[in-house]
Amino acid sequence: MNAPDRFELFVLPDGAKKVTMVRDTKIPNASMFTILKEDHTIGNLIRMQLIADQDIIFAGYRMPHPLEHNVNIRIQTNNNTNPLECVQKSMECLSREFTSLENSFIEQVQKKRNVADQYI
Amino acid sequence: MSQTVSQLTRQPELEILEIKNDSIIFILSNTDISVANALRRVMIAEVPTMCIDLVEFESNNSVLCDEFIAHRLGLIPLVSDNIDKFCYTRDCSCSDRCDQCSVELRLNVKCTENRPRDVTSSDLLSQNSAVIPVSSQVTSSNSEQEIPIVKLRRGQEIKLRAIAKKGVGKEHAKWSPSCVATYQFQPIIVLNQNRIDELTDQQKEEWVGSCPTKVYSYSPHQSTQQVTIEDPLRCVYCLECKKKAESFGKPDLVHLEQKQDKFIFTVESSGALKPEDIVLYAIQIIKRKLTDIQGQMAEGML
Repeated sequence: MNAPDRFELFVLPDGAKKVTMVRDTKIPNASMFTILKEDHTIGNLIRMQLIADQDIIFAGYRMPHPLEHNVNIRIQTNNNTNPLECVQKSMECLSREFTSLENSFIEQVQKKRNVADQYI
Repeated sequence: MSQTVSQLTRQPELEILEIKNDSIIFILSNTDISVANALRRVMIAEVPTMCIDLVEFESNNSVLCDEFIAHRLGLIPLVSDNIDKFCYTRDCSCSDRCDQCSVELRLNVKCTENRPRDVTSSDLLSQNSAVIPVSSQVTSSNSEQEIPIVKLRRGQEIKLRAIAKKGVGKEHAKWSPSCVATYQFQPIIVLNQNRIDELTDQQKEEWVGSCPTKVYSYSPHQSTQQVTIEDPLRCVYCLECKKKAESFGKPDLVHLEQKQDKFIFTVESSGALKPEDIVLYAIQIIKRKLTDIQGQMAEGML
């Protein structure tokens, strides 16, 4: 009866911005990104990619509350770059990785199908 | 200086071990566990399929009430190979529903015989020939069983109209296309043959038998290498073999490890989508998410 609608998990409300960034006022080169209507799937993916970057001093994510379907990603970088550039770079890396994964998968499926109809 | 995008981008490798009508097994390697886990999560909860979501009863004097039958109808997997052609009802421009965002199925059965009649998924007639119950598909190796919905006695009748809609497993598990979507690590098992040779024959047999999934094999007829690894993939890391080895006073008899950048995926489909399509849709959905977020970032941040 009072349970929230399930589609609130993934439907972005009208007028809401998918991504917002709040610069930290106390620590240099640090920011908090908030992504609406995402969960650990994207949060963990981005965080692990950020950690692979040597310019990142700190990268972590959390979902503030189970009823708030948002991901907060906190990033701190060194002076070589800034948080926005780092996040954009890491997401570009992930996009490229999944693109090559998709191409590789399609190619493998075609190859497998051509081998005398493997379907059982 | 800063690492470039090219330097940070991994080149994942993929190898498909097996494709069947309802399952696929493949190896994903040279990538991070977060990528494998994102893929797994999306395959389970974010790949869309068609499922019955609304039921309008005109007549039902069977022994089951309306809600019970509606729930059972919702759990029948429907063929969703054309899922890309449909849009979500909440995104559709129509006022209530239309052919673009829903499919109507009808059920109209009356029992006129003396014996009870089974109402099954084959009695569901679809307005769209591309969206039918999976069990009603005509395939070359058709051993599909019809899904029973309700039993009717003589004189009982059920007449209803069911509306199938596009949805994702995040909203209700009935929309999930995967029965199973898991990955396991490649186990690395190293046997210390010198330590094994120090065991008596009975101890070797006991040690091999300590493994509940029979990873090891024992061949007493061979003069050397009597104990070997039969199938490392069966290992479930219960460490029973290590405990047994320690009880024999030989803790270094076996070494177990997981290869942390190689993932063996098993995806089993409910039939709504082909297993390779599930994986492909999952990859595309993750790409779309990343692209959406990148696009939002490009538009004035702050």
